[in-house]
Amino acid sequence: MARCTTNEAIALFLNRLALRSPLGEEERAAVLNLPKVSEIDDVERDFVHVGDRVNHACLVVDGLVARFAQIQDGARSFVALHIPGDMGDLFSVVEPNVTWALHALCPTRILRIPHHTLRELAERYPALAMAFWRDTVTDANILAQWTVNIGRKDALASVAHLLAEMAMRHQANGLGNENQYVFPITQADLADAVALTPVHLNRVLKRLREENIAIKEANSVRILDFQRLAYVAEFDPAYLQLTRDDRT
Amino acid sequence: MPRFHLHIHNHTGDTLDQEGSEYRDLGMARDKAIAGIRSFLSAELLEGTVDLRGYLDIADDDGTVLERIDFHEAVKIHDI
Repeated sequence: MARCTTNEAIALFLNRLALRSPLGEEERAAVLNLPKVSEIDDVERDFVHVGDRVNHACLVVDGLVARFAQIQDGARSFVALHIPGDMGDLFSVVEPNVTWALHALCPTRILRIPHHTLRELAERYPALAMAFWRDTVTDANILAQWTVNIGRKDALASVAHLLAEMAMRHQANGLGNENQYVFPITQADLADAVALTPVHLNRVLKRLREENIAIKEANSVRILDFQRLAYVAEFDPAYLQLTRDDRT
Repeated sequence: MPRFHLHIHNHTGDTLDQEGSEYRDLGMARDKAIAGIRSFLSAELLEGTVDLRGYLDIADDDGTVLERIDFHEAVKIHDI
């Protein structure tokens, strides 16, 4: 699959905003013409660190990014995954003191957008301010759902839910569809995302494969039966807020 | 770091770890293997059953089995 370009990623970000918020031509043009401070090509590992004070937000151009929480002994746990078109830390505009890490799970391209640029856009275009705010609410909804999955669902449901969620998010971002999407995450990292050991995850993935529900391949996921996947996962996409309804 | 593959063999069949994971050494791989066994046995326990008839093979990238851990070695059962 061809890698996203910077302009394509910005267009994906705009699509993500417009999916949930009404934006006029002027607001759309303002997002498409975002000035870019710098790109990081093929970064791996941490590119935002715990304890940093940042002055930019990071747009995922290509690859896959995880946000980690970290405890005092250095142990880490996933709290979010971000795909191309996601601004993984948009909320840093209003809280630049970092208490988590952004980590590339594979060779990843990142575009840094200055906070002052995003702030100026929000001040000039109230509709964009609402769109940015709503975007961070979506991230919070996803985190809340992850908490429910890990705390209340069995391993099979939890893994199935993540696979279903990522399918819908890729489709919403204009990447992949509910049958197949690029997902370059190792089993060890995927296990971390669902709070399982790799051994246990492997058992779960085998069951999903044998029951012809979904197949996790090295860099992608193939969903053989989305209805059954959603049933096993008790998946309701409402928390992803994929429709605009009558929001202003 | 070396890559180890943790293959499970039990009543559900063989679950092969084709991807493997990098661990510092065999000792760390053993710790991860035991944690993995305990993890899915915990899930079975929540469903009302624990089946200790199985084992986990720790293999290297060439497929050589370096160590075998029987499930019952990973847990201590205090029977009534």
